[in-house]
Amino acid sequence: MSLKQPKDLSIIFAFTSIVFLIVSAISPAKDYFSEWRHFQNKFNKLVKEQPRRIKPVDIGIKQMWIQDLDRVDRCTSCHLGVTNYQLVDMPEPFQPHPKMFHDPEEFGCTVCHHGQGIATTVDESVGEVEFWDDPMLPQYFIEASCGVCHKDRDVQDAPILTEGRQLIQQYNCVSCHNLPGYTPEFVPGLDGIGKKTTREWLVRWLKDPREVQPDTKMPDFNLTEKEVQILADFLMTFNRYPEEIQFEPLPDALKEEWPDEDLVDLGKTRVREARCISCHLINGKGGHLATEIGQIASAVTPIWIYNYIRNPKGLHPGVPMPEYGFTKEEAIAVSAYILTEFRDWDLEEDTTSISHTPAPDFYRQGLKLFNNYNCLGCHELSAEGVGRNMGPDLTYIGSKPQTELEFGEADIEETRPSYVYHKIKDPRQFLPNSRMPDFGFSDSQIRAVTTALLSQRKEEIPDKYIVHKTNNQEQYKPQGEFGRIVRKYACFTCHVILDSGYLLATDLSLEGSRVNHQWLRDYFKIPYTLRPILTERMPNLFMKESEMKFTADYINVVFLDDDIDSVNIQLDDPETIQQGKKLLHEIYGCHACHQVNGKGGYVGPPLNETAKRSKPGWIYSWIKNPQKYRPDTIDPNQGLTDTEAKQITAYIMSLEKSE
Amino acid sequence: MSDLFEKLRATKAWKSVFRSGSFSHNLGKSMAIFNNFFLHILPVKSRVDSIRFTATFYLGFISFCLFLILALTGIYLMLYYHPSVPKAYWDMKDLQFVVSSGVFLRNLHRWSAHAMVAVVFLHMLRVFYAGAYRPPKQFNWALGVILLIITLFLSYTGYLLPWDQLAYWAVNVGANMADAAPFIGKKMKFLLLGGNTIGENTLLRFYVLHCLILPFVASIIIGIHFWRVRKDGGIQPLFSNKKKND
Repeated sequence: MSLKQPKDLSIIFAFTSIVFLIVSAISPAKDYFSEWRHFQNKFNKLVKEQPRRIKPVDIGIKQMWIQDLDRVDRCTSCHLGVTNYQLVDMPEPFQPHPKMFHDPEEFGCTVCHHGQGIATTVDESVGEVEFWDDPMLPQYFIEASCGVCHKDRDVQDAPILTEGRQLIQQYNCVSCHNLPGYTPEFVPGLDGIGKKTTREWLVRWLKDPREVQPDTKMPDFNLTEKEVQILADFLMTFNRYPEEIQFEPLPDALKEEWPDEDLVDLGKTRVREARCISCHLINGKGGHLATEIGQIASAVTPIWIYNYIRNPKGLHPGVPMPEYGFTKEEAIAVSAYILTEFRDWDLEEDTTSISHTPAPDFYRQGLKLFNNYNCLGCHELSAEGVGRNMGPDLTYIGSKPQTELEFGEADIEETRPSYVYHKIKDPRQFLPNSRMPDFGFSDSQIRAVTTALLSQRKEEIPDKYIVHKTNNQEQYKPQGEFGRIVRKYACFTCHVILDSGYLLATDLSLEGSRVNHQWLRDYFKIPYTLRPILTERMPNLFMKESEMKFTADYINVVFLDDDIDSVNIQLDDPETIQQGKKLLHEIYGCHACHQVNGKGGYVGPPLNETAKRSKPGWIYSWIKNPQKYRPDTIDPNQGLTDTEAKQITAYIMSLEKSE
Repeated sequence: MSDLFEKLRATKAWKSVFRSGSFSHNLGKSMAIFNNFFLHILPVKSRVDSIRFTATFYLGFISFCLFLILALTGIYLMLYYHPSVPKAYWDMKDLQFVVSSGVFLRNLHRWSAHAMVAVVFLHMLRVFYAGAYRPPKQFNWALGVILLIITLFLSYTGYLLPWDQLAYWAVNVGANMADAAPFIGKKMKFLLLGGNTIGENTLLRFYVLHCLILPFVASIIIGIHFWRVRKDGGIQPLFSNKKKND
């Protein structure tokens, strides 16, 4: 190549100058014809066609700087109608946001929706961007974002998240995965399993637990026939309880196939009084707090049933079942009733196990299987060589980079939500050596659990954003004799005291200010429901006389509120009572929901009963502001004056005498 | 037209700026080159052979132009960049999404940098094959080698500044290469990173090297390099030497 001087050079110079000019012009042109400018112009055009006058936007990039959350969101450059609810008829992206729980100026967009909020083009912001670990969260899982700050189990307005968190708790995911905020559930230990059940039942159970008991929480491990046989042989060797547990021999009355009928009848009565059905499902009826026992006699041995009724917490330490104060005879009667009635009548006799000989090294193989599937994660077993074998830590699964997720050969969308969803749906599809069992969740349950897991994110969020009620204070743990009684009768299974326990029945934190001492003592003897339309659930615990007295005394002097007790009300002034009667019947119409002298509605508790049960200070405080004591009660706050409340209280208290 | 320029060159203002006058005689033309800061890099008279395109392929000149482009775009990028761990990557994103022509200038800087490494290397090859490292140009060859190293080092320090994964691991590899040197390896790595691992100190250190120290040193050596080209002569094609010898 040879160039003549200098004319050729000028041509090159001219040519490159033109190229340079064009290149320099491209960049400002791209800026001018940018997507967001196009959207803003379109918005301003559409706004003019609206019937109401709406201010057009100033052309320019809009952004929200959320300093505390360390993010800049430019979504509103195109989503121009996010907070303007006059724009419901506008096409996307100008639609207003559906019900918003947080101020976007304070929270921004991407803290909930994810995506690349700093981007100013459609593809880069809401599209899938290479190397951007948090693409837009699919709408179905959006409640996962609530869970990042709202750490409590129950999150108001986030039902899917709440359901997911409850499922994670109930199905004891923490037994294999580290997940902060969840606690291990009670699962029966396996010591003495050989004495508790039969090999045939164990084989059936291990093959598919849900086949045996549809509502069980035990997942299906997809064990092969050989594995089932080995595990059953292995487990049947544990047929002894630790020596400190007094395992009584089977009473003679229970040795017969069909026990004495009078005994069975007594058992039936006691079972009804003890309201076993409040927690246990029996042939399709009853509660879901505990195991289904409709066919329990076909699953466990008579000697075990008898001993369990005698001493539930001895055989299964930590079981939430109350220790009923049955006498020995009553315990035999209850066992007899269970053995007679709660059978699986369709079960065919399986005789294969009688002639079964275990494989030579079944114990070693069984132990290996037991450890491999982390059985110890849920079930206690005292044996040499058992150990925990946890699955992956899920503390930050919601922000694990998508590139670190192992999709294997699975033909699914390679995103984080899709991974979690499919992992729960078909746990062993990604890797051949996966151990995770199948929980048999429905599609909506899988989505709920996925939502709850996606809320496990590693994010630096200032404390003021975090909503966490339960962990902020020390859990109330009753001590001493009262503590013993609370544990023995498993009060916290249904009742709450000072934020401890589960709220299925009443919060007892102020019970001392609420009820009469004598009423409480009588209530332990014969519990009944306070509201006519509710089913009876409080069991007769067959408490000892001394325990009833102690508990009533303790509640009466400890669980008090001075504000309630200090109210001074003139109860026996006829004029006041008359005024109260007028207010109750004519002004406020309380009898629409409450029974008064046998007349009235069925929603609230009958007021004659209330008079017997409650202390006047409580009635006064409650009718002044019912929601203060139970935020979810439907009893309306009538805005009573002090005098009115006192008059009504005096009238209600007088109902006791008038009956 | 040429008369008009002659008149212009005769004015006082022209003379005070350019320190030269009429082009009507060779002395005037020579003085125009000789007295001009930018033009005096060229000899007053050059042989056609030595300014022929194939003599140098203008590689040295192109390198210098790229250096200028990099300096200008670099200054522009400096306006939007914080050399700090929490900000650096997000400044990249801002350049991409909201700074007018940000992407263009960043790409210009990046591609010019790549081009400069390539062109400087080709320049060296051309000089080598032309035998222009031989006396009396040994020192200028040595300066050229130093400039090549500075160019590579500029490229390496600039690589960390976006503070993304690519940057982090590339610098990690580089630092471990320094580490592998016998005896002084550990010290060198520590000096380079301002610590034992890549962090805030490394970013600041690389930023200062990239934006201040290296360009400053390079500018001075480029000046000397040019001056020595002027004094020692640049590439003289081998065949012309042969002709002389014949």
